[in-house]
Amino acid sequence: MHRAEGFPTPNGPVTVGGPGLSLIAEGMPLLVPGWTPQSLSESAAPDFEIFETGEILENGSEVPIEWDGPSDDPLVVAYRLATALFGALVHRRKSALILDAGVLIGKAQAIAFVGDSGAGKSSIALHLTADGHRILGDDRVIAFEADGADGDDQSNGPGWHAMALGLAQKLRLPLPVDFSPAARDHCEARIAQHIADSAFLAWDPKTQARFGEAAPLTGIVLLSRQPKSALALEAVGQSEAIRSLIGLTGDPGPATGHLSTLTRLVAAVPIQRLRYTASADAADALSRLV
Amino acid sequence: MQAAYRRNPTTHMSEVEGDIFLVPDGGGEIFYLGDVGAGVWRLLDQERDASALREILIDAFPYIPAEQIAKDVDQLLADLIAAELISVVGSGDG
Repeated sequence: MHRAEGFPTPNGPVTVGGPGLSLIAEGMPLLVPGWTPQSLSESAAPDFEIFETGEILENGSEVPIEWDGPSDDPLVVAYRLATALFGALVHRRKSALILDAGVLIGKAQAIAFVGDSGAGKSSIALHLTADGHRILGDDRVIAFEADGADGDDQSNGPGWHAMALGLAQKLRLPLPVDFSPAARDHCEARIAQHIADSAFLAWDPKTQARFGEAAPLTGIVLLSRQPKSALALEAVGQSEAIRSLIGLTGDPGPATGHLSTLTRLVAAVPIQRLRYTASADAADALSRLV
Repeated sequence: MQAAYRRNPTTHMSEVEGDIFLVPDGGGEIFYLGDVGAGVWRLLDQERDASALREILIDAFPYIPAEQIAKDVDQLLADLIAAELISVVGSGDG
C-alpha cells in the first residue's frame, strides 16, 4: 500500500497517491508553499496518481496531465500536480475560473489585477507586500461564484470571490530598474531559491494568504503597462471585458461553460483598465481601491 | 443557384452590449462578432445567401465602404462555416 496525501479544499480533500508520490516532496513546498497537505493511508483510489516516470493521471482518465515526457525534476512534477489540482478545484464548482491575476485583499474585499505574462502582476504584488498589504496571489487565483450550493458558500456569502492557490511569489531577475528600494529590499531578503533567471520567494504568512483563503471579489483591473503613460483608471464595458479575459482565464470544462461563467463574472464585478508605467505607481493606485 | 447559410441550431450564443459571442456545439474556441459580424449572425436566423447578406449590410452600414463589407461578409461566412457555427443549407432567398 502506498502513502497518499490529501490537499484540503473547500469542497473536501483532493487526494494524491501512487508510487511516484515522493517526486513531489521537494518541488511542492517550493512551488506551492501555501499548501498544507495531510498525510493519509491510501484506502481507496486517489483522485490523482503519480508514477515513477513523473506521469500524473486523474482517476478514470488515461490522458497524462501536462505530459511532455518522463521527468524526475521536482519542479516539473510539482507543476504538473499543481495544474491538476487547480483544474480539479475549478471542476468541482458550478461557476469558477482560473484567473491569471494577482489579488490584493482589503477589508472584506479583493481586487484582482489581471494580465498576461509580462503585464507586471508579480512586480505590482511585490510592491504591495513590501508595503505590508496582504495578497491572495501574484500570478494565478481561482474566481468563483458562491450561490449557496457549494460547501463553503455560507461563510463566503453570495456573489463572486477570489480564492488563493498558495503559490510562491516568483520574480524574474535582475529586478526592473523601476523597482522602489523598499520592494527591492523586500525581494532580496526573501529569496528562497534561484532557478534559471527566476527567484522563488520564501513564504510570508503576514502578507500571503494560504491555499483556500477567499475574499469577496469587488473589482477586476486589466493591467496595461506602457513605456510612458500617465497613471489612469478607466471603466471597461462588459463586451470588451469578456474579450480581454478570454485569454486570461482558464476553465477545464467545455468552452460553453467558460463563456457563460465569464459573462456572469463581468455582469457582476466592475472591470477597469489601469494604464501605468511604474509598478510602484500601479501598486499605489490599486491600494486605494480597497 | 447560390449556396445559402443558416445558424447552426446547436451553437451556443451570448449577447453582451450588442456584441455576439459564440461557441460551437462540443466546445472549441470562443468566437467574437463585432458590428458587421453580429449583423450577419442576426440575419442568419433564416436562410440567406451571401449576396442577400451583402445587400442588407451595405444599406445598414452606409459609413463603411461597400467593398469592405462584401469582403468582410465573405471572410466571415468562411470562418463561421469552418468553426461549424453556421451550416450551408442549399439555395437561398437570393
